[in-house]
Amino acid sequence: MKAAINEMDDGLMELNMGPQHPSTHGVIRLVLKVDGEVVKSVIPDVGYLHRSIEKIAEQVGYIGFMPYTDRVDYLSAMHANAGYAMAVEKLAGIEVPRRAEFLRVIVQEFNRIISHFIAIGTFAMDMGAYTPFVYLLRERETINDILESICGARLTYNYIWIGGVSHDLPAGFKEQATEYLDHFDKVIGEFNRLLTKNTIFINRLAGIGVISEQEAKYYGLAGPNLRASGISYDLRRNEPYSIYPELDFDIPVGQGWSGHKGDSFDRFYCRILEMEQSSRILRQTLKMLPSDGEIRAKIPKVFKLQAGESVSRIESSRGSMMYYILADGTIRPVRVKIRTGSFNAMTVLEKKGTGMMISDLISFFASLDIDAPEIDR
Amino acid sequence: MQKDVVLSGGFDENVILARVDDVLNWARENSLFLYTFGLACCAIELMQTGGPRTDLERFGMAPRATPRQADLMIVAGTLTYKMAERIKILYEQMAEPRYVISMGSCSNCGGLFSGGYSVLKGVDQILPVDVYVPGCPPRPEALVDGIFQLRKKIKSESLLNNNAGGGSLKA
Amino acid sequence: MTSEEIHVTLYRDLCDALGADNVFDRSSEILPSVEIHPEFIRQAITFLKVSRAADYLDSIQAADLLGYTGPVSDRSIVPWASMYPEPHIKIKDEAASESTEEKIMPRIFLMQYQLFSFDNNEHYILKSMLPFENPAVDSIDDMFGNANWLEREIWDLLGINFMNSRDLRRLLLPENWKGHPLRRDYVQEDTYAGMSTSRPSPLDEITEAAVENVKKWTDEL
Repeated sequence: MKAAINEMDDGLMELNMGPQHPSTHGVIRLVLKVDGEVVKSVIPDVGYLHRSIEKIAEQVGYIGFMPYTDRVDYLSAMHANAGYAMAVEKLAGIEVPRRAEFLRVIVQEFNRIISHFIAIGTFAMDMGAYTPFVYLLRERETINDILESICGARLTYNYIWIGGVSHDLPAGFKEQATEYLDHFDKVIGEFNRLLTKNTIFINRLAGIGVISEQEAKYYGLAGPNLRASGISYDLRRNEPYSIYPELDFDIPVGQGWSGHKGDSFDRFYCRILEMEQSSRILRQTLKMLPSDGEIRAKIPKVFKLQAGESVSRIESSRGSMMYYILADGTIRPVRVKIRTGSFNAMTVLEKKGTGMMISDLISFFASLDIDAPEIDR
Repeated sequence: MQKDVVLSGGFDENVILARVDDVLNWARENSLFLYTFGLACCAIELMQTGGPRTDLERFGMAPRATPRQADLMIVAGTLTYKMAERIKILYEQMAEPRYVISMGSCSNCGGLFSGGYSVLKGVDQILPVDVYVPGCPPRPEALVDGIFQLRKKIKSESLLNNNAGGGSLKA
Repeated sequence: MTSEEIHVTLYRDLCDALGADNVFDRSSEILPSVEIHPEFIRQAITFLKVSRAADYLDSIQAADLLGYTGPVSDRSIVPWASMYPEPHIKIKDEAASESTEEKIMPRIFLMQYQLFSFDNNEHYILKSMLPFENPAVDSIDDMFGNANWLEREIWDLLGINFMNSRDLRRLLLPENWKGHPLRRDYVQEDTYAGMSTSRPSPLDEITEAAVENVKKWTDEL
C-alpha cells in the first residue's frame, strides 16, 4: 500500500534492500527510491546490530571488556583487541615485552589477510562470481587452523591481553607459517588470473563510485577507501606503533588502474596489494622473532586505571580504529568510545549513491567493505 | 513390433514397501533448504560450514535467500529489538513444515550481551525453537551435529497427521 | 611537535581569535586538549579549518559525567564558571560524632571533537562541558560530511541537542524507544513492544543456593 501512495506522489518506487539480504554485509537496511532501474535516493537505516557494547564496558571493567572488543569487528578481531590494549597500556604506563610485540604483529597481519579474503570474496559473490569465494573459504580454513593452534579459537580470539598476549607459539609454528606463506603467493596469482584481469569484472567495477581526494577527506574515510582515492596515509607508516618502524613494507595507493582514480576497482585492487604486503611483513617478523622472552607484562590482580583519558589509534583492515577511554581511578571505566572506519564510510552512500543503477549501487557498496557490527557496536 | 519392458527378478528385488510417513520424512530430511539468517559473528561460522571443508550441501541443504523457498531457519547471531520485529514477519512467510535452529549463545539466551539494553535475550521468546546449538561461535562440526539432531527429530514426525514442523507461533 | 606543544600553540592562537575568556588551557593533562566555551565551538572549528587546514573530522564523542571526580569536573576554574550550577555541599554521616562535608560537583556532559590535518600531520582535540539541564551545541554538519551521523548517534544515546542540524533523529535505536541509554541513571522498562527485557538465568538458583550455604557454614563456625 505504501508503494502505491508513493507512486502517486512522485512516480518513484520505494524498494527495501535489507535488513536481511544476501548482498548486504551484515544487517543493514537501505531504503531506495528507484525510477525503473536508476536509484534516485538512498537512505541507510542502521542499528539492527546495536548490542550496547559501550554501556556494557561500564559494568564489566577493564579486563573483562576484552572479549567484547572481539565482537566490535569480528572479521578483524585481533586489531580490535590490540587497539583496546594499547589504549589501556598508554594510560597505565605498562610496557609490553618485545617478544609479545612481535607476536601481536604476526597475528594482526594474519588477521588482515583473512579479513580481506572475506571482503573481496563477498565482493566477487555480489558480482555473481561464486567460485572465488569458495576458493577463499578454503584458504581461510588453513589460516583459521594456524590461529587456532596459537590461541584456541577460530573467530573471536581474545588473544591480545592487556600487557602482552595470552599464549606463546606452539612448536613447529614457524615452519607451518612459512609453508603457508609460500602457498599464499600462488593463491594470489591464481586469484589475479581469475578475477582481477577478468574483463567482465573490470567492466563492472570501472568508474563506479569515484571518490576524489577532497571528498575522501570531507567524509572522513579511512583505510583502503582513503588510500584508493590517492592519499597515502597509513597509521603503520605515519604514526607508527609497536614494532612497525623496524619493518619494511610499501603502502599501496590508488592509481586509477582501470582509468578512474578512486573508483571501485581501485578500492578492490588496493586490498589485494595490501595482502601481498602483509605476507611480506609476516616473513620479516618470523625471521626477526626473538627466540625467548616474556609474553606478558605483570599487571595487578585488581586492575585500576588512574583518573584521566587515553586515545589510541590502530590500523585495522577497514581503516583506522580509535579507542577513547575515560577513567576515574576505579576498576570500571566511565566511558569507552570506539570509532571505526566503517561508520564514516556509510556516510558516503547518501550523496554518492544517487544516479546509479541498482547493480552499480551494490558494486559501490561492496567496495567500501562495510561491516555491520562496526557501525552499530 | 514393440516389446514391453519387463522387469527381471521378482517382487522382492524391485519393490520396496514402506510407510508413507517414513518415505516423506526421508525425503524432507535429506533436502532441508536453508534460510541463512546470519546476523553477527555466527554468520561467518555458518558461511564456513557451507564452505569446502565442512560442506553443508552434501547433506542436501542448499542456501536460499528468500523465506518462501526455505524449510529451515538458522538464527545465527545476536537479535536486537529492532530486528526482532522483522524476524517474526519473515518466519510467518516460511511455508510449513518449518524448523528453527538457534545457533550460538546470543540467540539461545542473550549470551554475553545479557547486560545490554537493546538485545533480546533469546530468540525463543518470539519463535519456537527446535534445536539449540551452544558455542560462541559454535564450530562447524557443532552446527552439523545440531542439524543431525534435527533430522532425528524429523524422522519421528508424521506429516499426514499434521504433526510436522515446528511448534505454533507464540502470539 | 609533541601533542602538548601542539595544544599550547593552539591555545594561544584561539585566545587571539575567540578571546581569552572563552578558552581554557588543558595541554598539560594526560591527554592534551583545549577547552572551549560551549557557544564558541563552531567558531573554534572554523578557525581550525582555516588556519591549520584541519579538514578531516576524526570523531565526536560525548560522556555523561555523573559521579565523576577528575580534572574536568571542577567547574570553578574556567573563566565561564557562572554558566554551571554551584557545587552541592552534602553533609555526610549526620549521626556520627564528626560530620564531614562532601562537595558534589554539578552534573555535566563532556563533548570532545577530534580533528586531523593532513598537511601538518597533527591531531587536535577540543573539549567542552555542557550543563545537564538542556544540553545543546551548534551542529557542524555543513562543514564535514560525517558529522551528521556522529551527532545523530550522540543525540540517540545521550540526549544532547544539536541546533540547526539538518536531520536529527535516532540512528541506532528503534524510533519509538524511550530514554537515552548511555546516561548513567538510565533505567530500562520491563517490556518493549511486548517482548520481555530480562530473562531469568538458571545460574540465579545456583548462586542463591551457594550464598545460603556459605551463610549456613559461617554461622555454624
